[in-house]
Amino acid sequence: MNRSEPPLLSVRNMITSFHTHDGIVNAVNGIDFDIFPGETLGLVGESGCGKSVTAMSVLRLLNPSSATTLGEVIFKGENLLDMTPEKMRLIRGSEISMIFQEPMTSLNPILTVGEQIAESLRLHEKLDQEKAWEKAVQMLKLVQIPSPEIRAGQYPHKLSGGMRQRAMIAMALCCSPCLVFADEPTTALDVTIQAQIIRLLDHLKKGSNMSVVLITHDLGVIARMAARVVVMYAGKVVEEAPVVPLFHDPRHPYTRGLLNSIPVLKNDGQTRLTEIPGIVPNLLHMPEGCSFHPRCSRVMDICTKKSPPMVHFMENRRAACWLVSDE
Amino acid sequence: MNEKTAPGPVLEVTNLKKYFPVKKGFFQRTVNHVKAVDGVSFYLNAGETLGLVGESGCGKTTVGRCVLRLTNPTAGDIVFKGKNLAHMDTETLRQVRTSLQIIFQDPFSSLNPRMNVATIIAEPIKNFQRLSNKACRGKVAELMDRVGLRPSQMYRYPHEFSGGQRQRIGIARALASNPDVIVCDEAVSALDVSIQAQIVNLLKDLQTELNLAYLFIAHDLSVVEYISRRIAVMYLGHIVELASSRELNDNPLHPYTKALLSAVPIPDPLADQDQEIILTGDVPSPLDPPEGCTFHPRCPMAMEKCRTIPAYHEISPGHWVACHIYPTS
Repeated sequence: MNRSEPPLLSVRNMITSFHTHDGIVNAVNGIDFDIFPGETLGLVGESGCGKSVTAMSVLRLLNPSSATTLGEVIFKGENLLDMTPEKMRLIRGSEISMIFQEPMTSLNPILTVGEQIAESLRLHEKLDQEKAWEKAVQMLKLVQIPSPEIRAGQYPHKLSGGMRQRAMIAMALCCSPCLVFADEPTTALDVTIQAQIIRLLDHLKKGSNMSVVLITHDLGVIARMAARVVVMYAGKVVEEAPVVPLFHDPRHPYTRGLLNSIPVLKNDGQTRLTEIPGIVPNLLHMPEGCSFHPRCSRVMDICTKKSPPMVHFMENRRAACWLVSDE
Repeated sequence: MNEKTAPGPVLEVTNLKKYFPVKKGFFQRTVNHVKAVDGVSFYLNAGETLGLVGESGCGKTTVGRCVLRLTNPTAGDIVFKGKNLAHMDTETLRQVRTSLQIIFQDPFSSLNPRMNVATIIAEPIKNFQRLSNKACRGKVAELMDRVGLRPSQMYRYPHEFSGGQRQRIGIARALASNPDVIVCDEAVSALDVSIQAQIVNLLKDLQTELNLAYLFIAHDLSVVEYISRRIAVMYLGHIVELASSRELNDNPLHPYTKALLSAVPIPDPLADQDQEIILTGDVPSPLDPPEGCTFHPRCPMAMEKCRTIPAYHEISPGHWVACHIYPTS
């Protein structure tokens, strides 16, 4: 990561709301973060905290008839949210791309793997059919799929889960994007396959100045891959820190609770897990004040009334909690 | 914890096999078999937890379903409290099942959406006990309270609950018939970590309180290790290693167990990740398993000998392994 450079992408006060039968739901409720060239940013949180919606909003993949995104997403000096759909289409897939969660459902079952990769090469790099196919095979080789020439001509159902995820990665990287959103890239995979994919992503990142936003609920994967971490809860950023201080000196009670509730290998098996009581609030009926206060072990009077401000402290950390001061 | 109160195993599974036929052609002839479970043996003591880990398709769920005879095993014995379930007629089996229950993986599909919580939890009670409606409601309220649900929510429907709460309903239903053994089939896998911790703690509390034995099936080694006293590691229909959870962690013997342990990402950025053993390739298809030791095509330590089936034997007290590196003495 290079902090002296300007950020590659800046998200400012982004709000994404969905129109539902029961009212308007703010899945993402005013978040800010920056991504610098070449860094891996981890975005963690539990189901429904808005981490996937964040990625979808930045890439404008949400259906405009059911979701609206407000705020600013500045990429290379331009606001992506104001861009025409045609211009956005040129950026999506070539400069910013996405690795989706489920390798089983995010590939088109009626196109061969090679055709799917070649499609974006023809569209963005203006390669002819033959060249695009050649490059697609090369990409499959790059993601270490054995006998890529044969695999390129096969349909997704012929590939195993790990192999599909590799194909997905090949597709996301084929136009050499400068920013990739990886939405739970290893969640659907078995641990031994997950280890392979993590190593592959590491390896691919090393050779380039690509930035990666790693979206996951698995703190183990975050610890392994990310340099900086943003923790989200109920549509808001609650804490941001470089990876080592986040794991060793978490400040927000939610981050602490999250870290304590993971069972760790090498445990003697006798201690109890520290749980966070209660459940994630319903986005339609958000609690007043800090949205975490009904589950927080250190709740104070003020937490139930006023939403805490974002406090910046130490060089590059911030947290939204009344307990945190900028000292 | 309860070792003293448990003289013998409540459940003993010997050489369990389950082959699913693969049918093809106009006459649906059986052309092949998927050997989902191929000779699995283990025992479960009263009040203890045996973890069963392995990757997708290794047959761990099939073992769980065979134990309850939700699928009929092809061969092998399942002895529960001295009675062999494998050849039991359905009526006797129905009675035995009261003390043998299951918690399913997916709290979204394992509860009938058209039944309210009271009906769901009361179903096993009504099936096996003669209770008045009022007494039954009382029992439901007591069960809901025990698993951390508010009895006032008795008449709500499953869709009104969150994932963690639904899993609690599933647990209450399993407890309703006062079982001795509960098969937890990926009972916490679909939950978020903070909720997962709640459910794991609940299961542990219930175990101490009611002297339950769990067969805890999961793919997440850290959770399994946390809750289990002993762990069996499965690969492609076989148990490759079985040991106490501490022994398995400190001294894993089978190369697959070693790889599995090292593949679990440690939630600490300062942890040493260099010792990672990365397995190449995917789990082979159980339709056409490799000859001999099924792990040998992916094994970093494979030898010529691995083309023959290794014996599953006890290498030190309570530590079983099936690998040629550790020969039978």
